[in-house]
Amino acid sequence: MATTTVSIGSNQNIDTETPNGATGSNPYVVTFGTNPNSTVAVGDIMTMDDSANSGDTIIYLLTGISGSNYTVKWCSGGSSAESPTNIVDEYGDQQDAVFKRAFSTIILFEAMVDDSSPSYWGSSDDVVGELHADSTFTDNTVNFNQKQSLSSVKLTVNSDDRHDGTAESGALWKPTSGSGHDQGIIRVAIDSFTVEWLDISMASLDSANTNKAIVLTGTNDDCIIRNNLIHDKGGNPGNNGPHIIHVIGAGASTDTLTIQNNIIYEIVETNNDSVSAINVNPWSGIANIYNNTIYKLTCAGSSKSSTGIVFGNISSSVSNVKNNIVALLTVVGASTLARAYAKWASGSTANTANNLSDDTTHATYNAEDMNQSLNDSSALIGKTLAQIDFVSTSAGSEDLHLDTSSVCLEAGVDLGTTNGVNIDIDGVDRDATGVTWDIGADQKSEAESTGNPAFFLLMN
Amino acid sequence: MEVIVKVNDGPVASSYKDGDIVQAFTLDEIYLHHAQQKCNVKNFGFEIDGFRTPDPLLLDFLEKTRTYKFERLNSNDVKRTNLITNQEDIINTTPNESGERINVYQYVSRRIKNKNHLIFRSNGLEYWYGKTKNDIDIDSVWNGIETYSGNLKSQHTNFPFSDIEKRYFAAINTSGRSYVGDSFTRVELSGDTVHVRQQIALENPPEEIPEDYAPIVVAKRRWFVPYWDLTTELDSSVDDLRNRNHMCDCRKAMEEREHIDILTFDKVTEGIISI
Repeated sequence: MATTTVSIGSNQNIDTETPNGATGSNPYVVTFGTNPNSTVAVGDIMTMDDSANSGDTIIYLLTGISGSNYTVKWCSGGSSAESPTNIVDEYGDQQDAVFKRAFSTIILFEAMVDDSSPSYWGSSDDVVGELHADSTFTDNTVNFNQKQSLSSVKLTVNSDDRHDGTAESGALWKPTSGSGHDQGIIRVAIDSFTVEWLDISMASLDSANTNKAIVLTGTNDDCIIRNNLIHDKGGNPGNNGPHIIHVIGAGASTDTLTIQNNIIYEIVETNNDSVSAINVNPWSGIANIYNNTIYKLTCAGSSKSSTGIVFGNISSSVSNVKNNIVALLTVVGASTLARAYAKWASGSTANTANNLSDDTTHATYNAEDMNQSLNDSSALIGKTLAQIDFVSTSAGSEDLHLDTSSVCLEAGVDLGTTNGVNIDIDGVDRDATGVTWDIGADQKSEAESTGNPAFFLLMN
Repeated sequence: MEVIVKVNDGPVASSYKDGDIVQAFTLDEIYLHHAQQKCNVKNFGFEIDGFRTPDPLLLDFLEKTRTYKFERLNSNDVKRTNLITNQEDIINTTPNESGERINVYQYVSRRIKNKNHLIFRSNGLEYWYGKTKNDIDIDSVWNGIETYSGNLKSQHTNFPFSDIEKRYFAAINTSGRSYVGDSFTRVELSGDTVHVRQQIALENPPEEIPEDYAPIVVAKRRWFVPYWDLTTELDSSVDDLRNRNHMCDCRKAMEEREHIDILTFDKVTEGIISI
């Protein structure tokens, strides 16, 4: 399958350069008098004014950059594909090429995925929508319910604009209005969908009805949710409290869902509702829940619960729950409502290893027993926040990377490389380090110096 | 208020329909998108020591759009100032009464590996800003931008839709009216009036909502613009609007905009769908 990447961002004037050569026949390999600036990326469009000839603006999609060679594919404008060097003004002089983002918002990208006949990708392509941190994304809800005959859809962030594991350090998605109650900021009803590297702040939604960040409705085979930061949901969103990653459909027993290397924190309900961070309870297939860090879940109401990860209510389900951290659960009512891990039914299958729960969870729901007396001897239980040792839990500068004294360091299990589980919250390849995996979304210690090259060294 | 409208029906019943308002923006949201672009970290360089250059445009923007300022005081202590309340406290490796702590050396060490970092240094000590405010005074932000750059707020009144979007969708703006007697002036629309226009049409929920309740989507959008009946108001023909090789931008200056009730309609009220 071909992969087509399109950029998503608000910069509609990234750079303007003049082509000085082109080879090939759609796609064209174009060179410029001056190379476009480094903000220009694969997936951007290149537009050229052809008013002197066809009367149109010609749009090309930038599909590759190799040194000074820019590969572009004609998409629309004029009657047929035309080389960029043939686009001239009324005096025959070469027209400039203007680089812009392909889409300005995530919703409009989704609307194009929903369309039957876009000319920007092939009908069976793997389509990648790549966010750029030109400005904050404010989309209230994006409903991926159709992908036509596309092979897969991925919503990701350009590598230059990815977060570094802390909020607001890369492309930020901060909705400014409600999604609709139980609707979710991202709602997914398609197979083969990946959402990764997003930084979703729910901080503007305290008075809005948004109570979920990512909702999977059940047709979600081979869906992957990875390397995301989701945080700061407060207030009272309505009759149902926050459930940040929530599967609400069953899927099929052969379907696989993967949720890994995410950080979810500061989820605080204020009026008589329960809270959960990852809820795959109705899922009837395979759920891989690996290396997530969940911190500070607060419910409201004497009968309400704060739950980190809940799974396994369907007998056919197989839940693989490994290397996760759940810490700081607060409840108003009985202590049994503080639940780090909850395997809901006894008949389902759970493969658990090396999970951590802190001293705020009830023992029944700790990483060892998970509501079913699993007696997982690899679990770390009863740990304090000081033992977990996050770098910063200070409001406004939260940094849930592991600090130097953490009990999570090299306390995990190697999960291989499937679906990129080895890539931690800020891009460190755990496998490339040769050290034992850490628990949670961050790989600390030796791995730190090899995965994400230092921009410069701090002099302390 | 600006809306972007689907042109032509999507391929299946659950797709967007012809005329659907896909997304809507307040003028303040539009101003903020442009302000964020002007003050994007990539527009600013580094000092010789690798910390971000304390450009007055960037610092003014951060002061006005962030909730906290953090200033390192020594090897362990950080002063945190709430820029909304001016309340100050000291945080360090010892948890405070709220359990908050920070290892500032580790924190700063990690941040500055990111080439888009926003860590500044003054007199050998780092400072930075945290957490974007929910309620940003956009006029104040643009005052700063106009003071420290050549950009004018008045030239940034349109959402930066892409050329692809202007071919596959229709960009339209509209206004409200403020009446004095029988005469009116056109005014910007804000908040809920705008955002309701981009709502999904969801079935009314039951009175008792179960925890695993899945709202039923009746239509991908509840509001629409019947542009095919509004060619005069939009100054654009149906053929042009539906031609994907033609860019259509129906946005007008404020004094020429049609009233919101002339352009936008609720499918439920119009009897097109029921929830």
